[in-house]
Amino acid sequence: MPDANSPASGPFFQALFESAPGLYLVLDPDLRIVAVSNAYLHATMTRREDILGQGIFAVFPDNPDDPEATGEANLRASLQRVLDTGAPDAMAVQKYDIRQPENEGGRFEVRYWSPVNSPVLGTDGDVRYIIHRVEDVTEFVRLRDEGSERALATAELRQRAEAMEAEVFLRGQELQEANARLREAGEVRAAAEAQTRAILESIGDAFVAVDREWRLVYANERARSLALSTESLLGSTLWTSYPDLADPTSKARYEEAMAASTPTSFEVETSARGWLEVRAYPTRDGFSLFFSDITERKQMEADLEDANRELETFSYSVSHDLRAPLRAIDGFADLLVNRHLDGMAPEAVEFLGLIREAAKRMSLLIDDLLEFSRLGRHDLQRSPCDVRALVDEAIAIVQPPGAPGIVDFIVHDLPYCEADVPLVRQVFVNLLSNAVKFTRRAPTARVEVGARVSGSPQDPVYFVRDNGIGFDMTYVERIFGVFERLHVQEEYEGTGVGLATVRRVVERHGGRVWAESAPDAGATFFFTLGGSE
Amino acid sequence: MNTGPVEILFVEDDPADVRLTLESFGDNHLANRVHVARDGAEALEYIFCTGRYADRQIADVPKLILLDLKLPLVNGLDVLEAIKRDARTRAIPVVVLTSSRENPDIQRAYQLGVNSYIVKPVNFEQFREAVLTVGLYWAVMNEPPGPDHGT
Repeated sequence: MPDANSPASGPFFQALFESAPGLYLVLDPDLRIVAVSNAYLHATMTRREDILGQGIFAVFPDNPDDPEATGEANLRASLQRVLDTGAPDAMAVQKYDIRQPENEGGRFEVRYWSPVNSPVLGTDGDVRYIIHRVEDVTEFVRLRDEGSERALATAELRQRAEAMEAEVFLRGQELQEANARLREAGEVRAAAEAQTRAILESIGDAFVAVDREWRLVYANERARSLALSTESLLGSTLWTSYPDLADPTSKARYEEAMAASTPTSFEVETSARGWLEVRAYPTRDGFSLFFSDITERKQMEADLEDANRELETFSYSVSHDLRAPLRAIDGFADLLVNRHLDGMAPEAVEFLGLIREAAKRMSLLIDDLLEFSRLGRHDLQRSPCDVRALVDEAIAIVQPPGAPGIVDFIVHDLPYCEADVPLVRQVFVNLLSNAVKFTRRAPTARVEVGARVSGSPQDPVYFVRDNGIGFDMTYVERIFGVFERLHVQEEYEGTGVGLATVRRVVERHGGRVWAESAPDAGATFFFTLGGSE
Repeated sequence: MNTGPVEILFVEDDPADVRLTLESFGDNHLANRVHVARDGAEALEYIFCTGRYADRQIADVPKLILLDLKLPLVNGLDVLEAIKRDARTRAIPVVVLTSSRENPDIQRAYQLGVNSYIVKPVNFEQFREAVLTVGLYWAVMNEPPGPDHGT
């Protein structure tokens, strides 16, 4: 017989159930309350005698003040599922407010519950009872809600932090970009520097930079090769590394240029390096110096000087030695005719005349040749040239005043130019004497002098035009050659040097000369004088 | 007059020029009072009475020296310089008679104190006229300074 106090007796199980710490309610299939644990009663502020035998929904209705209450409906659905399936059903956390007892005010208290409904099956498998177990999770939900607020705050913080991070990231990126730009600028500068350096290294000239104390701050490859020693070159003074450049005269010139901050250049003959041309330019921090090896140029200049001297000697000997025999030929032929004419055959007299003519002609050739060679040696001296006055002088020379004026000279406006006055006068004399010569047979000889501007106003084209016999343009290139003539001596005298001289003068001025003509249609000679440079 | 002392020292190496010059003078009775020196060294010996002319008296100065520039041994400009540097001979009129119209020669001759510079014309008629004019002017018309009693 089971003892009521034995663990297996009915009252014992009831006492055990009612004292269990969990919140349990036992319902019959009609959802009437058949048993309840003390903890449940306590949590729902109910008394056992008030709720046993009652329908669950009568005891725990929805809070009528909460229009959104779904507790009852949810619980009913869950219990029905247990009845239908005979399987436990766990419900989501429910808000199921609890009404206080009438004597405590009968108000509803907010509660959250986590219910699980489990069936108690009979031997036939039918659901005899449902154990409705709940956990009061109000505190948990409250904490959770608070937690979500915190989470919210955290989220906000996180958001702010993220915003800050984004900001930091952006700033970082900007910084990175700025750095990149800086790096790029640095690279550009470095590239420019490298390029400059490469240029300085590759130039044939030696290049050094010195500070105000004449200490070397840079020397290119060529300069390094010229230095006394390449060891500790930078930092040493110009004078110790390049003692060749330090002779007192040159040194004084550097010092002077440095003091005045003006560029200077001069040539210096060094013991080991031959001739150097030194060009010094002031810089912000000192001086840049270029040394060019001009030994070759100096040698060429010396050669040229030698050649010029030789030419001078030649001219001298031509003018002196070739004239003397001519004078003898002419002189003795003259004496022969004058003193021994009596009894001389007429043919002998004629021959003597021809000898004298030839001598005279050779004398002219020598004079012209000398004049021509002198042009090459003559230093060109440009000055303002009153061309009109020069032409008037030239006309007076080719047709002296008082001589029968058979040529009609027409002189147009002639602009000034920068040229060597005596040489330009010679050009006009030669061109005008040609013009006069070749219009000799014209019924009305006319010679025109003028100028036109084509291209630079500083470089007018002058011309001399005649209405003489002209020439075939086939020979136009030949007429400017030395001793070139288009006519036999008996027809038109001349040595063939006049136009060669014209070309020489014009070309030395940097100008050019050309001609237009046709047989019996006159000739026009054009020339320029290279402007004022 | 024809037997008087030498009045013209003619320094010229070209025999043709010597002959032509003398022929030119001849017509005017100057030729036999001309002494010809054929190079610069002989000219200096004659003027300063040394070497071949040691027995000459330096005070016996010619009235005129006609001087070519391009001469054997000592050139004309050096001869000119020696004459003009020496107080005893400085007063002798010296006329350069040369074929050279090179400007440096002309400049140098005047710097050294030449009295005249004549470029010999190639044409004989002009040449004769030039040497005659010079000879007559300096040897006949010009009044030379008296003997130098200084130094």
